[in-house]
Amino acid sequence: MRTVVQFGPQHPVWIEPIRLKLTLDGEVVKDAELEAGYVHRGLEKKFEWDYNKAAYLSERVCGICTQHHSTCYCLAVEGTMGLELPGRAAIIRTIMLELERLHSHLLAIGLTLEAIGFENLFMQCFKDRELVLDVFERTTGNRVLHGINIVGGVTRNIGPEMAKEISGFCDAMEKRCHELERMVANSHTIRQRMQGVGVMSQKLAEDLCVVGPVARGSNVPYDVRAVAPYLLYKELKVTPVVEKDGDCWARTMVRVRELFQSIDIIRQCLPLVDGVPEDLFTKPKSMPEGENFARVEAPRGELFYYVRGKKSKELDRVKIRTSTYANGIGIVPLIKGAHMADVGFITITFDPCIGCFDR
Amino acid sequence: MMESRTVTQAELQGIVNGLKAKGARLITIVGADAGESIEVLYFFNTGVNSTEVYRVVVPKKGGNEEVESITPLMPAAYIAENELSEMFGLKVKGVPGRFFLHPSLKAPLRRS
Repeated sequence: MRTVVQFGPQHPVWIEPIRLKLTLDGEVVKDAELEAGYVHRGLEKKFEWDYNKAAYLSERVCGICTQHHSTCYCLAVEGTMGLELPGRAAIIRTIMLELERLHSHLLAIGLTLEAIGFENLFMQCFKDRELVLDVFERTTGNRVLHGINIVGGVTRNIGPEMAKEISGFCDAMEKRCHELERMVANSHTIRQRMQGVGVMSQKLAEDLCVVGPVARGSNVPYDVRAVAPYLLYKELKVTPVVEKDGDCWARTMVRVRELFQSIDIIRQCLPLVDGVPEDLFTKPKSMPEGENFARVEAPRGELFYYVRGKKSKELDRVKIRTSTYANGIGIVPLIKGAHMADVGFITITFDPCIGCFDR
Repeated sequence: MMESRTVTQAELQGIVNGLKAKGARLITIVGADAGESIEVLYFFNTGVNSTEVYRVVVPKKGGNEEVESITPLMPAAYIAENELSEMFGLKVKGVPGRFFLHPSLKAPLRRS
């Protein structure tokens, strides 16, 4: 006998609302239907206003990867004006992007562990994440919505003292990440629970064009930092972190290994702060005109902004393609054939951000 | 600045087939209201530092415009085509045309 179960929109495993309509045969999911749009805010329409204010608006799309959103938006608008970004601003943006990735991955790993009932380690992840948020508070004045990106550069500097402080943070964080990696990778229980669950084959990942840790967990080395480098990544040379198995374990391990990659990138950026001019931003001399797009690698994967200007302060059209938007299509094939008990867990390894998805 | 190639809907099907064979990835589909017409832009990632953008111009016909779907060729287009349909009131053949919005909302990004 087949039973239909409504999974969500309010479900403890997700922080935000999304609905899955599951058709079950016993414990096994036979069919699934995804419904989104519960937190649709019509942000793309709202973007048709002052391009300077829109940098702050873009941060409001997502509370976790705010820096990626505003950086991507600013890169796209700067392209329409032909603005050259000062070297210092590029360094500061890159450091902030990697800090953001650190805290987002810690959050995602924590939530994945919580979904399998490992609450102690979930709390440990969130405790570690606090350290990153403290650095954000010290450098930008805000823990979550940083508000330092403007079209043309940044508003807050990282001086030598702050660079030293961040360097100390990197050392402390690396130790904690090693400890976390040791606990996750060596735990027989976690491995047993995650391996072989929610397998996305490489072929499926390529066909569905999924992005971020979901793609890289399925052996697809797609990382915008390597494929289309922007800011300082042109010089830093990022090698995508890849796992072969495509299961929940692989996706989590990609995130765990990327923590070290982010710390490494921040360490490479910090010495560059000395010896570049103090200019933080270039003043725009024209209005946004014509079309442009920009891509950045957000913690959840490729983030895309398309901007069309009309030579006035207001923008004509802004389209945001977030990472969850690209990954959303992969949820349904993965939960078909899975057990009901794994549905929440599989979706949480996608690190879904519904605020991003719906916009 | 962005470079794009304007193509017809029939040409696009062949182009997408060719891109798929080359292992290109669909980034997204963007709709934009250009006054007399609705422009549909298809963004593909075709390799390291290389993207291709194709533009299909759909003249406005009072809400009866039709666009060929590329979802059968590239399943990744499903959500983007549904969103294109609900935001601009275009009919994308073969997809439901609703994903994020409530049925009571009619083409919010279309300018009359």
